[in-house]
Amino acid sequence: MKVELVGLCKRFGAVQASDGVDLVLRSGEVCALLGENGAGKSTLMKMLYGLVAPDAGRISIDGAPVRFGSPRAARAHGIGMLLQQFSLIDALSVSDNLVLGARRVPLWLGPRSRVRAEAEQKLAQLAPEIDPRRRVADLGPGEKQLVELSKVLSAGARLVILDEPTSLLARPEAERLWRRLRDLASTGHGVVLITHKLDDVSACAHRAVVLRAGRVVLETHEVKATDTLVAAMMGAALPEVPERRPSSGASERLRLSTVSADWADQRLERVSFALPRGAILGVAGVTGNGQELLGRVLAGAHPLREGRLTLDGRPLAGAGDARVAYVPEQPMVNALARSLSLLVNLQALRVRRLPWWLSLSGSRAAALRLLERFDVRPRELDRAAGTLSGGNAQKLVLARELAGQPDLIVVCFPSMGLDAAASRRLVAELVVHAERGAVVVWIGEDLDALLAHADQIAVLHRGRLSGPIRARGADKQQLGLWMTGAAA
Amino acid sequence: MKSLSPVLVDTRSAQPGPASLADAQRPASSGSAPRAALRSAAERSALAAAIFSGLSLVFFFALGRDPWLLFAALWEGSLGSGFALSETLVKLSPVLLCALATALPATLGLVSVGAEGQLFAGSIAGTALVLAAGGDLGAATAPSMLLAGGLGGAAYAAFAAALRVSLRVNETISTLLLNYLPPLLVEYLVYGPWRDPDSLGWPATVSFPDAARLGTYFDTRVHAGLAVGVALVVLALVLTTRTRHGVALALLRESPLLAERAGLSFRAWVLAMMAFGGAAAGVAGMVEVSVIEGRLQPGIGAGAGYSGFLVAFLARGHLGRLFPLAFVVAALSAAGDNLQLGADLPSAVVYVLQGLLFIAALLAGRQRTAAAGVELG
Repeated sequence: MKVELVGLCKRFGAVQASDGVDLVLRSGEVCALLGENGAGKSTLMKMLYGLVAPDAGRISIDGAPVRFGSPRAARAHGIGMLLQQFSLIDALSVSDNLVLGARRVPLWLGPRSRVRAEAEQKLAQLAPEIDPRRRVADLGPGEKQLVELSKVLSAGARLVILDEPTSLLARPEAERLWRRLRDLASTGHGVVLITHKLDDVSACAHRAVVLRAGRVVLETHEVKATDTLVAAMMGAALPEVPERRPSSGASERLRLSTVSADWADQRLERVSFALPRGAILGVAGVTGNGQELLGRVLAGAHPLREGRLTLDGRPLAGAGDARVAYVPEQPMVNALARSLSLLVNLQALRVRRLPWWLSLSGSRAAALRLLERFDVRPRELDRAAGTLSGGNAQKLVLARELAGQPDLIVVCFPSMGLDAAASRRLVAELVVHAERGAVVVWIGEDLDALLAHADQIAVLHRGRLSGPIRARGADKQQLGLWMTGAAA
Repeated sequence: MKSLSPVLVDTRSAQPGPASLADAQRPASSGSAPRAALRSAAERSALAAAIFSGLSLVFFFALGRDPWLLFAALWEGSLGSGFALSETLVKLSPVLLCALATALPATLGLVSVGAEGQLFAGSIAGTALVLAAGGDLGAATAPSMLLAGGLGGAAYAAFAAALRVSLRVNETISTLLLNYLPPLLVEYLVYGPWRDPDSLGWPATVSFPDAARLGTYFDTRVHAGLAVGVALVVLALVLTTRTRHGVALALLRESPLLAERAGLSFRAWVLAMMAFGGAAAGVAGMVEVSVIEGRLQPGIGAGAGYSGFLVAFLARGHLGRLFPLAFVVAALSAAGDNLQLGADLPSAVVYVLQGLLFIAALLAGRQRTAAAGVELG
């Protein structure tokens, strides 16, 4: 199978998301589509998958021109896509979900039907560790993703597009996915991996195509040439992270004593630690071990079952405590109102102190400077936040939360969706706040990033915290054991 | 792009449509990205109108009547003459107020279908005041009567809201079930303790004193209730798009965690918005009692509570669209009277037509491509 994209263009208002892209995709190859947030990677692939109609250009499969008005049409031609959001039904079993995605489903579906057997067999090839009778709601994000992939394959996809698949995964899960994608390519599938992570590219791609501002700027088989790729993605050098001065004997600011809490399927069990002025604590762990709950508890947004949390000796005054900056997971749902403008979202926390008759013209200049500082694109204050891409939504939340002088900064999976430059800028901002004396708790997914930038590191497993220990010289093997709950 | 998806709030409001707050403040640069993929509100309306006409045509054929004569009767009964227009305006007032009763809770993502019950609750409260005070209040009678009606509707709606915030009872279910009570209570009252002894068995209260009758204009039945309805809709529109309360509502609807961090109490807002909505429906009930009947009797409002729900649904959370849509629904309702009298069709024809309108709007609102395709990146 050979898919050719020729001269594809797509404009969204003032943004040229795709600017005459030519690209050839083949079976047996993992092609990484690399680029910063807003470079036009997803848009390009959504045009191929029939989700977005191109303004100009054409698509052909094995030489025959095609036109897809819907994903259904694309699937009929063997093109499948895993979007960033899962499209599984939580209440059903894995097996039921696979059957729902199959190409032809008979009216009557017994437990022994052929369609089901085939679907389960596909899953067994791809992910033998997943029991098809389990409920999807009980699966972790990595497992859900494999089910989703299996569903796409059951539907007959020969070219599979994955949109930022590793953004939800811890390192071991990502490694597993990389292996699976290579295997898929070796069995004659084409794979397109949309990503901004260089690890994805070097570990699994045969070929890398770099997009910037809607154009292909580099196409190479040298997937390990990290510097070249970064330079092509950025078009400029990465921002610098300021030096950290080692702090010693600083006074204690944040203290948790035997904190326990419950929320949905997450819990915290007797978590205790104390952090001095200017400390950055990295909290690592496999997803689904209580990270989100820890973030909420630290931000005062969730009640404690037992224990005590104090900042500068005083307990938090609930979720609205002005001393705390909080960047929760899933910013679009948890930290932004989609229908409100960027300008209003930047002011959202002070909604009760806004002028009764909304006139925010006085704050426009400062807001625009914030968009610049955090590189939120496009820089249109009156645009609805719901139209931002994931990475820019995250930057907007960071702009609001890190603009002030908070005493405690809690960030939960903050680099999800951020590209290399934005991640670096985030670290720089956190370091500046720490140098000022703020306490930073960074609940993260990427152990290497945490080790590189945090002073102390702790591991969360099933709601229990191991550590913190000093990050410098920390034994990665020991941390790995903690992450799997081997020895706490 | 997961979000709570209340039926009445257009979850795509971050995209086209002039009434989302972001757009309303600066219409020049509304979110442009998704426009290509989605039908605009104008396109949807035109499409809905076309589908509705087609469905009605089929329906009239099925009745075995000449559809063009029935269309002519529809036109004559709704807008075709000065009298018809005035009757449409008479129907408009309760429909508009009840639409507000649904649309206000919907600004929080709540789906209330309780306007009908709230309308009757308001009529009971207002009538109680009139019967108790007689003509003693003089010129203050009518305003106090409307106020009492509003309070009655508000209290009844607040009951459903309290169930929601204290016991987590789904407000759609509770408001639906609570709709059955007040009409039965009205029947009890007018057959029992409040029956006019001189009415010769007719179930109704005594006729209201003149001070409790709202004025009518232009020698028609068009009355002050319409002005009240329009004023309340405009007030709601201004409050939700131009003041910080609109921001608060959007936060509560779209990001509960952010709203909590901003110090907003979901419980308090649920109580408030349900109560404001109930007040609008309660006023509608009292207006109907005062102007149309002049006394409390069963069957007031002619289903305005449900017509109002239809209007709010069609408006998809945009308060600015309530008036034109309520006008359409009221015109259908007035035309239905004409069909009943002139063309000898059952009055249920109106409900069938409203149902067809609902289906037409659903079909027109269907999107060809999944909305997932609209993010940049």
